[in-house]
Order: sequence, then structure tokens, then C-alpha cells
Amino acid sequence: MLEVRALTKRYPGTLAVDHVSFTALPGEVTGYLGPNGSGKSTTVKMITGLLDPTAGEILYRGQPVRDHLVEFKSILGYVPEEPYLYPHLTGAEYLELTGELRDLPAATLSGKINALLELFSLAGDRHAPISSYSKGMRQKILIAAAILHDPELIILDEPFSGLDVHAAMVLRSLIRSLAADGKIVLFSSHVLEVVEKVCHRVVILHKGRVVANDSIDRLRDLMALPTLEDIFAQLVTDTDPDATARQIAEVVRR
Amino acid sequence: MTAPRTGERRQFRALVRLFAYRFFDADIISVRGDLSSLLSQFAALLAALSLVLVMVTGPKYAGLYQHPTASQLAAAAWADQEFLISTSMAIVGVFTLLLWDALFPDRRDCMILGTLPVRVRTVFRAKVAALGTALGLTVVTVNAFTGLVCPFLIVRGAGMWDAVRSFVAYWLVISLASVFVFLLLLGLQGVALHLLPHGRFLRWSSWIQTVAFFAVLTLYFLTPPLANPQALADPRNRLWYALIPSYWFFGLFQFLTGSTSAVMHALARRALIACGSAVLVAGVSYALAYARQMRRTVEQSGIAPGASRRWSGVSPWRAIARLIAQRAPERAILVFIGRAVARSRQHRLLLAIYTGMGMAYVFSQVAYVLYRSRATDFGAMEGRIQTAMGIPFIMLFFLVAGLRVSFSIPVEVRANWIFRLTDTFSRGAYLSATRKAMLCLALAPVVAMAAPIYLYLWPWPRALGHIVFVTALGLLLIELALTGFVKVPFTCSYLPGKANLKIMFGVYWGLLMIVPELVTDAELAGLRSPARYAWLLGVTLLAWLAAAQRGRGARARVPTLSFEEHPEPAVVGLGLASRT
Repeated sequence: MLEVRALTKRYPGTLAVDHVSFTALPGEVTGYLGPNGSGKSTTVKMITGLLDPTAGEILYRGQPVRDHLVEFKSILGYVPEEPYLYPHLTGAEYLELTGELRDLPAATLSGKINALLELFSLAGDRHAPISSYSKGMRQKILIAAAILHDPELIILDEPFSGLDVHAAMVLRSLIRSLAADGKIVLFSSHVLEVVEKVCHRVVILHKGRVVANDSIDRLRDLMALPTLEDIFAQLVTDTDPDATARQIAEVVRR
Repeated sequence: MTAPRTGERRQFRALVRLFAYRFFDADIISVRGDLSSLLSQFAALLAALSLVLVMVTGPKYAGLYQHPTASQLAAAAWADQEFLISTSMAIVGVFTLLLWDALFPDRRDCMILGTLPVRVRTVFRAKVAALGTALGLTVVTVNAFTGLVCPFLIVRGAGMWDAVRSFVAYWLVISLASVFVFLLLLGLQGVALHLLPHGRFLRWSSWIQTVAFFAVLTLYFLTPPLANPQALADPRNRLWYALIPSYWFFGLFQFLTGSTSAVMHALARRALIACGSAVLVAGVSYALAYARQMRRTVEQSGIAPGASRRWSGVSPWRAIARLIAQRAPERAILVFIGRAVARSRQHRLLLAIYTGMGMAYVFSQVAYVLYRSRATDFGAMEGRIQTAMGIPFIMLFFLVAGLRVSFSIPVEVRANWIFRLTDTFSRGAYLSATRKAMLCLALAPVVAMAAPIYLYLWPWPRALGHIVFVTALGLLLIELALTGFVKVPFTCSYLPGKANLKIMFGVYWGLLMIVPELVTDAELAGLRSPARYAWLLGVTLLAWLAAAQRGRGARARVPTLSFEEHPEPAVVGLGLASRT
């Protein structure tokens, strides 16, 4: 179980994350939602150890992850929001690097890499440098790198970005089956239809604070709203989207 | 929580490989590019330089051209010792400044490696090992020939023991001097990294790099030649010895090869203290960087903050573009070029390298007049005038070449789609803007800087005649440089290894040796006779017009602008099939 307790991140002049608490359970996909600038990525970076929290705790199986950071990272798979990759490496070389840094046995590593490249339809581009990859291809490499070592905890930050329809369907199904294998999946996305389909529960963030933390069905019942999009709009949208769109069209016509 | 299965040694090896390649930013490189070909060409160039140094320094010891006396040989040996040490130091300095961005962990390293189960100490060790390997390879390549031959020439001793001692001392001193320069620059960046707020560091770092680059070249070329017994005996030179690092290591070499001079001992001590201080500063700042900068880098945006709000509305470059370009697309490209040169650290450094080479050449000429020649040896007044005349030509040559090369290196090549979408209807404007940018960034500054100096030094008719001729020659040079350039600057992918560096280097060097001499000879004769001057200027302007016409014809034959470099095909087809 991954437990986040009163997590806070303060930058000079800004409170990015304000006492955020939630729990992600094995066998479940937990959706982590919020508008731009709500603190989602900051929370994720704190969980992955990229950022130090100003206050609060992150516990995995009841133990603070800061005390066992390297061990925690070895069971963590992470797809970041921004596709940071080394462009001079080929797709296969990047996966090889990740596998070596995770100390996967060489014998199984190359087999895994070949199989994953094949399944992600990247086998034909395995020797091309990542600098020549499309956004979707880079995203597939990130996803493959995140699951290469069979992690217990998987954090996906906008994993559908740039994927084509087929790859998106595969990923949706993959997220479900990873959870069915007993893994903890924390899934952050702006695509609410997908979140609604794959997540067991959602945590909604607004201006750095948790404004909802429950299963989607219970949220529907509690708020008497039919879809996650309606719930989200009710909780975090400050302005009328239609009115904003009309104003933009007006500016364009000038 | 399960125990980690990570083997640090395996991680270390993987990271050393990664960092060694990370020294060369491949974001800009064409998909079909060959980085290893480029690197091997550079290595061959450095080794060739080492061979040239042997050929320059060696013959006098063998008495091939002349038969110097023992005291003359001893004086030459001292000068050569200092020359070889300072050359190695300068090359290592330039090499370190080229790797400036890869010396400390960057945002990409932090974001990728930060989430993997790799200990910070492993990343730190791997980076140090990669840096050490790169430094070691550079030092060995630069001294590939000099290191094997010169130690036996520049120390005059009779026995086997002297030869072995000289060989060991040479490599020890060269290594220490190189490590000193490397750590000094590493420490400089480290101190700036720790003392400045991160945003300000991002903004100032490239300026520190550029200033350090010019400092290294200035120090190398303008160091007074004091490695001789007479200079050593003169107390007025003590300050120079105390300030210039290459003399410290020269003193160390002398000490290690048996000199008993107190001055040499003091210099040797200074070299060792300098090395120790550099190790301390660089070591502490480097270790601290891993302890606190990796996290700080993630917290901060990777984008350097812009100018202060007060100046944000002021854009002199846009004002110039408005003045010299009527059409909006032409103005847009001009502004794009100006901003890329001003804001892209990589392009600014490339321009600094070319400008630095030009300055180095000019400095070497000035140094010759200052230190190594009396007026009578140098052809008296005529020689000095000719040297002064050649300076703007040389600077123009290097600035135009630098701009031409930097135009070929893309800024975020994937963003070129906007030019691909619009090139069909703005192609002429794009190419015209490129030419105007060269006029503004190369010709205008050289003329603007040279004109007041010549008007101050010379009678105004001669100064004006020279400035007009420099302008005409600049126009011709720009036209020649843009022959075959059918691109929007900074938008086409770069194909390393396409140009044969060995041949190009030789051709450029040959041109640089011959052309300024011929041109200044012709101009000097022209300035004495108005008819000759008119003829010379007329020929230059005609050549410019012919080159412009030829360029227009060549560009008209190319259907679209180029956005992707392609290698030359291994087999060239004759195109006969398409004619049938």
C-alpha cells in the first residue's frame, strides 16, 4: 500500500501542494486528477523521490520511503509527464541502459527488450536514435522502460500523450491487467473518459488541496452527477467553459 | 520492501558509457549522421597538430637547417618547453569549455536518473570517470607525437637517466598542467553554480563560458616570451612569472629535470600549490553539486529567465530588421536569426570559437610585433601597415565562416515545421534575410570597429580607401559563403562528418596564409596610386556581382529549401534510366 500523509511542497511565494493525503491500494488503479497547476506533477515528483517535500510523509508498506529511497525506486515504475529521454541513444539502447541500471539479468533483459519493442510496434525502429522518434514512439519507450523490471508500484503521469488509437487501447488494457496482477497503479491524466474507464477510485486536486478522494461510483452518488467530467467541472472549474470559448472566438474574429 | 538487486559496478559502467556520449549533444544531429566519424576526425586533427609541433620544434636540435651553438640550443629548449606546456594547457582549456554544459549534472540527467534505483554516489563517480577519460584521451592525443619525441630533444643531457627523467617529467608536467586547467574551469563553474541563484546561474553560465574562452586564447597568444635565461635574470619579469600559469609548470619541469635555480623552485612550488587549490575548489564544488544541485535542478525550471521587465519592450535587433527589410517574412527571419544568435548558448559558443580563432591569429601578429621583432626586422613601417591592414580581413573571414557554420547547426530541429509550411511563398525573402543577417552580424561590426581606429591612425584618404575596400571584400566573402546555402538558418538538421575536416582545415589554413598577404600587398600598392586602387576595387566589386549572379542561378535550380541534411551517396547514379 502507498500512503501519502499531509504532503506539502512550498516554493518561495507559492504553496504548490498543501497537506495532500491519500492511499493507493494494490490491485487498484487510483486516478490522480486536477487542472493545470493544481500540484499533480509536484506530488508525483515527491513520491518518485525527485523532489523533497517541505512537510508530510510518503509510506510504502508502512515504511517511510525517504529512509529506503534506493530500495523504493527499485520497485517503482514511472512514466513522466515530460518525455525526458537521451536522444543520442536508440530505443533499444535506452531500454538496455534502464535495465542495466536496474540490474536486470543480462540474459532475460535482451529477450524482454525485444519482446516489448515488438509488442509496442517499435521493432522496426529499434536501431534509430530517439531524436528521430515521434512523440508517440517516445511515449512507448517511456512506458516500456517503466514496466521492464516488473515493478510493484507504477506511476503514470499523462501516459496516453501522443499515443495512437491502437496503442491507447493497448495501454488502457495493460493498466487494468497490471492492477489485476496486484500492482499499485497511480494514474494521472486529463482525459476523464479514460480515467472513468480504468480507475477504481480518484483523488481530485485543486489549488494544491485534495477536494475529492473516493470511488467514482460513490462520487457520482454523493454529488448526484452522471459523469466524472461533471463531477470534475463542479469541483474545480471556476469559469464557464462556453463563455471563455465565445470570448476566444471573438478575439480571433477581430 | 524488497532489498535492491542493483549491482553498483554494472550501473557504474553503464553510466560512464552514457556520460561519455552525453558530452556531445546529439539533439541537433541528422538521423543519418555519424558522430563517431566526426569525433575520429577531431582526434586525427589533434594528433596531426602534435605531429606539426614536432616538425616545428624538432629540426633545430638535429641541426638540419642551421648549426646553433650550445647556448642557442639551450635557450631554444627553454622556449620549446614553455611552448609545449602552454599549448597543451590552451587545448585542454578550450576542450573543457566546449564540454561546459556537460560538466555538471543537467536537468535531463536529474529527471531520468533521479527516478532509477541508482545511488547519487554512483552517478557522481561515473561522471568523474567519464570526465577523466575524456580529459585523458585529449591530453594523450594532443601529445601523441610531441610526448614521444620532444622530451628527448628539449632536455640536453648525455645519459640514459637524463632521457628517462625528461620523459617522465614531460608527461607528469603536461598531465598536471592539463588537470590544473580542467579543474580551474570546473571549479569556476562550480563556484558560480553554488553562489548564484539557479535562475541567474542559467542566464550567466554561457557568458562565463564565453569570457573564459576568450581569456584562455588571450593568455595563450599574448603571453610574453620569457622562457629564457636573460628574462629570468631580469627582476622586472617576476610579476609575469607569478601571474602566468604556464610559467609555473615550466618551472616545475625545470625543477624535475634537475634545475637548481631558486626562481624555478619557486615557480614549481607555485604550480603544485595551484594544482592543490584547483583540486580542493573543484572537488568541493563538484561533490556539493551532487549533494544539493540534483534536487535543486529538478525544482527549478530549465528555462533561463528573460531580461528584466524594464527592458522587455526594447529590441534593437527588431528595429534594425524594420529598417533593412521591407517584407514581413524577411523581417521575421532576420529577427529569428538575431534572437537565435543572442539566446542560443550553443550558437553563441560556436561564434565565440570562430571569433576566438580570428582573434588568436590577430593576437599572434600583434605579439610578433610586440615581442619577437624589432621594427627593422619586420620591414619597418611598411610591414606594420600591412599587418594592421590584414586585421579586418582576418576578422571578417572568421566571423563569416563562424556565422555560416552556426547557421548550419539547428535550434530545436523539430520546430522547423513552421518554416516548412511557409517556405513555398516566402523562399526569396528567407534567403535575402540570411544575407542581410550576415551583413549586420559580420561586415557591419568589423567596419564599425575598424573605421574609427584607421581614421585616427592614418590620414583620412588612406583610411577611407581601406574601409571601402574592406566593405567590398566583405560583400564578396559573404556571397561566396552563402553559395549553395538553400536553407533557413538554424532549421536544417546537421550531418556530422559530411565535410572532410582534414581537407577543409588544410584548405582554410592555406587560404589564410596566402590570401591576406596577397590582398594586403595589392591594396598597399593600390593605396599609393588612385588608378590602381580604382582597378582593384572595380575587380572586387565585379567579382562580388558575378558571385551574387551565380548564387541566384544555383538557388533557382533548387526546387525547395533544405531542412534535412543527407549524406553523399556511396554510389552516384548517372540518372540515365530517367531519360529513357
